[in-house]
Amino acid sequence: MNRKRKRLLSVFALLFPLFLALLVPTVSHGVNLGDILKGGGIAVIVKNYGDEINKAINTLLQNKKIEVKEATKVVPIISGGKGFYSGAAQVTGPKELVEKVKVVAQVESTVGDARIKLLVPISARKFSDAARVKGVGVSALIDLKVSKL
Amino acid sequence: MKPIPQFLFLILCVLTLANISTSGGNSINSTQPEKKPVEVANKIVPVLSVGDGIRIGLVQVSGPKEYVEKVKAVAAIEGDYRDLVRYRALVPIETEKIVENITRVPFVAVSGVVDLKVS
Repeated sequence: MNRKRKRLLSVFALLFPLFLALLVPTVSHGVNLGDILKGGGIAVIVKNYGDEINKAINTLLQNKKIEVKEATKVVPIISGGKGFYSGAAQVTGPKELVEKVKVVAQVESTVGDARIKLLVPISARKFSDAARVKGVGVSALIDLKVSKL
Repeated sequence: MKPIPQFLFLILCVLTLANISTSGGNSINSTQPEKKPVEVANKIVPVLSVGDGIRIGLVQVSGPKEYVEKVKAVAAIEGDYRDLVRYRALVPIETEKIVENITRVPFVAVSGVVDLKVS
């Protein structure tokens, strides 16, 4: 009995730090497991349900007679500094430009006491001024419902 | 009937071609007016929750200047999809009174979300 207990304790002692390492935020990069899981969840949802979410938003607005007249599309929002998906957005604009948009880059800047999260539609996975798609803007913000992630 | 002398025929041809090319040019110019570059502007406006009209934040909107000038607020309409995601449609509007029917300002979209630092 004692041997079994000891063995269990030693296994626990070995695995516990590993478990903690997965849960504890990696402060150096400012990214934690929750962010990574959320980012993964957003990628999956946008890929599989992006078109349906886009239609759902457009239908809601159509019912209220305030629909977007231009083309729309749902894309993930990539957090500029951290490089993971932090949410999703519906973008709107001329069809040929909307088709180019791959993600919306979230770039933070501070003006006085206010912090502005600029939402820049881009045609690449990484933010650069060259990849910016001008003439396209954000018409809806989308968030995962799982609040714990 | 006498045949037209060769030099006269040539002059007539040149004159006719010149006339066609100048009139053609004019017609192209008249159908394609000069394109003026669109002046883009942006502005920070409040976000109003549809239903109660409460201010729930600030956003930056951008688009052609003439349309951005019309925008007074952005109406936020919430919905959800299959219990997976929650979305907030952001509609640029001309009035801050959103109890009545709201009208979208076209060609304007959100370009940023403003967070005020609460000290």
